[in-house]
Amino acid sequence: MTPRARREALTGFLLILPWGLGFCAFTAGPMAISLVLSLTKWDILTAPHYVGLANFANLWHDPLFWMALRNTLAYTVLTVPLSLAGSLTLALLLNRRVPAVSVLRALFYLPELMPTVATAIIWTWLLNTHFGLLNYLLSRLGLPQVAWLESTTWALPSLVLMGLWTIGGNRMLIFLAGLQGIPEELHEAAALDGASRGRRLWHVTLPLLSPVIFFNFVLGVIASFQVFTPAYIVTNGGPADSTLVYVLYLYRNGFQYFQMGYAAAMAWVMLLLLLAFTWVQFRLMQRWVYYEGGATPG
Amino acid sequence: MRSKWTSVLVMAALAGTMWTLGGGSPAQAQKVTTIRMVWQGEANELKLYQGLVSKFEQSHPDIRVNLETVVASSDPEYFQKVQVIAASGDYPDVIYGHYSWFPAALAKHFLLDIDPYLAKAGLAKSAYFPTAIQQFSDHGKLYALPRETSSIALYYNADMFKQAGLRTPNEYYAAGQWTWNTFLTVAKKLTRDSNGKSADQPGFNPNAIVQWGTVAPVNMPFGLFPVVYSFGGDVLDPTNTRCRLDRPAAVRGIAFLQDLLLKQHAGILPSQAQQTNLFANGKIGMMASGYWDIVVTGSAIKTFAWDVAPLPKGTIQSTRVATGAYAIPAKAPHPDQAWTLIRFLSQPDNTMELAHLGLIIPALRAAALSPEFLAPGKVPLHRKVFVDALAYGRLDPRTTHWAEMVDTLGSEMDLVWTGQKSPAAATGEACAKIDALLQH
Repeated sequence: MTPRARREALTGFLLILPWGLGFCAFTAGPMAISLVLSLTKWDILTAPHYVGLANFANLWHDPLFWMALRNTLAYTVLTVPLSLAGSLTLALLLNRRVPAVSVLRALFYLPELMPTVATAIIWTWLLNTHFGLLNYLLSRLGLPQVAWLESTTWALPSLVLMGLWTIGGNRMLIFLAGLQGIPEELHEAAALDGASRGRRLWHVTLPLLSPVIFFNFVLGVIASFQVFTPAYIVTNGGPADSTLVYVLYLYRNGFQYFQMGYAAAMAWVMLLLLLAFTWVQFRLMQRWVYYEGGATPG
Repeated sequence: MRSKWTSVLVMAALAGTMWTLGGGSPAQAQKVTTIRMVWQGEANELKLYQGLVSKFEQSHPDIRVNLETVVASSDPEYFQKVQVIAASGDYPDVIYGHYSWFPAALAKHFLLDIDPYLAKAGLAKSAYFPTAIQQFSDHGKLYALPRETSSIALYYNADMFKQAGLRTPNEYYAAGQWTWNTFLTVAKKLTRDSNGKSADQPGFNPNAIVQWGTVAPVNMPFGLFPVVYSFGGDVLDPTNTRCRLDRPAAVRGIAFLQDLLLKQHAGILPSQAQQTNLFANGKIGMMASGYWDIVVTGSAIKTFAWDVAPLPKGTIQSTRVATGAYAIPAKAPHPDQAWTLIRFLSQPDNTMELAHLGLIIPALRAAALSPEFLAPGKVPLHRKVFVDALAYGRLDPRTTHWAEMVDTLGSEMDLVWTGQKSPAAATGEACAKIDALLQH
């Protein structure tokens, strides 16, 4: 290594040092501690004691753990495809050279900037059984009113609906960037060959966009597994635990039921689940994700 | 060039600060102890406490107080923060806290027994409401000095009663007729659909209600528990090791509420009523709630006359009582100074200042019963019912599994209010789960 290269490497390390320290102190460190805690019984107030894998064994027999896992999976299965489709559709609509398109993009992006708590409270209004806008619209259509947040059937879908509020946000921006990276000449060539708009979308746009779809898909699943705020603020897990999502149950155990070790075990189970899921996705990716250069990373 | 000037300015500012810090301290005659108080309160309370603390520091030049205000949206959330502070080993000297954290704090030997301090100060426990002392006592020893107390009573829209030609709850009470049956009859008469028909009239349309007789008192725990108590039921047995909600009396209370909601259509769920502040907007006849709502909801009422009355009677007259108190952690670094501060904050004059904000009933009996506090002639006219209720109200059962118990029970009760489960089946299952918790 030349002295110059060494110096550059050193500068590089120095520059990422603050981040590295922060990562060790606030992410890696706490993770290591939580791994240790997951093997203990700890009520926060008195010293933890080692219980081996008992927390993990108890999880297996805890009906609320399974309920929370099921709710979270249901939320994910509903949210991820709907929000991906929504964001992609919006991105396709906003990826045109029409006047004031940037104003439209900004408008659709706005919900992303709203604080989640404020949004959640607005949604409790919209979904109010007696005075909500949604039920008002239903009644105008002659449809029966729905007890959105008080019904065990509708509460979780209501949370999904709230999540769709941000389809114009970051995910849409990433799609938009992806769409703009698709070379114009491919579209032109397809058009010259007589391909309709639908065929161009299916055979040109979507294959070339597949790495972006994949990226949004993986991140979307991880994010929806971690859903917490709406379930905490709007329904507090109810009615009858129908919106008790994984992270909410973890939080209750850690901070309300004096079972921090149990909560730490839950956190690690979730990490393993997400790791497994992501690994499977990266394996399956080769079947449907197309990289223009022909090479697939990883 | 510019950055150079900035750094010069920064240096100058730093030098100035150091000079002030160094120059401002002449040799102190006394050793000054700094104590920390962790508490929660809203904006007005914070202002008041800052004033009280500076008054305290003037009269006690050897003690400085760091007031650490925890911002929390609920009592359990507040206690989590206290716990996390304590878990770091950095114990505060004084904590203010609500009843709900006490069982856990007690079980973990987190708090100091303050009986010796009380004896030294010549302070009699009988100066406080008995339930307030009971809430923070264990085996005859007191672990926190009660600050305030509260009971649940019934708020009502007096104009709505007048328009319907009904006697008010206070009139029924005076006549000895204020029972849950009367409550139901009244609630039905006050519930109206969009055609103006009340819930006891033929042709009433339960899908188009525009005015409700009452908020169904099903909120956990301060809505549901008073109903269970007054129907003669219990939540737990006297040893707090067995769930008693599946016993006939408690089941009857819960069945009454299910009937009120689903069959009589005379009540609205609390969650729906709260979102739109329906009581303050004049759409609800009655609402069971605590003293704090005189300020929280009362101040939002602009268009109608309102008052408060005792809760209706079932087999007995009952309600739920809860308390907040100052405590000293067992590992507090400066317990003596902490007690001095608690003593100061609990003086009648300082307690009254807090009471004037309107959110609390002083736990000090003389203060709560003083004309200054009861403010005769001020809306709500019958505010004394909250204080009277302290004599017959009950405390929540004491268990370290409180939060888990309330969540477990709440989940089963949700199914009762939607009609998916019968009260007997739901309480049966809830009790099986709660028993398992309590044996734990």
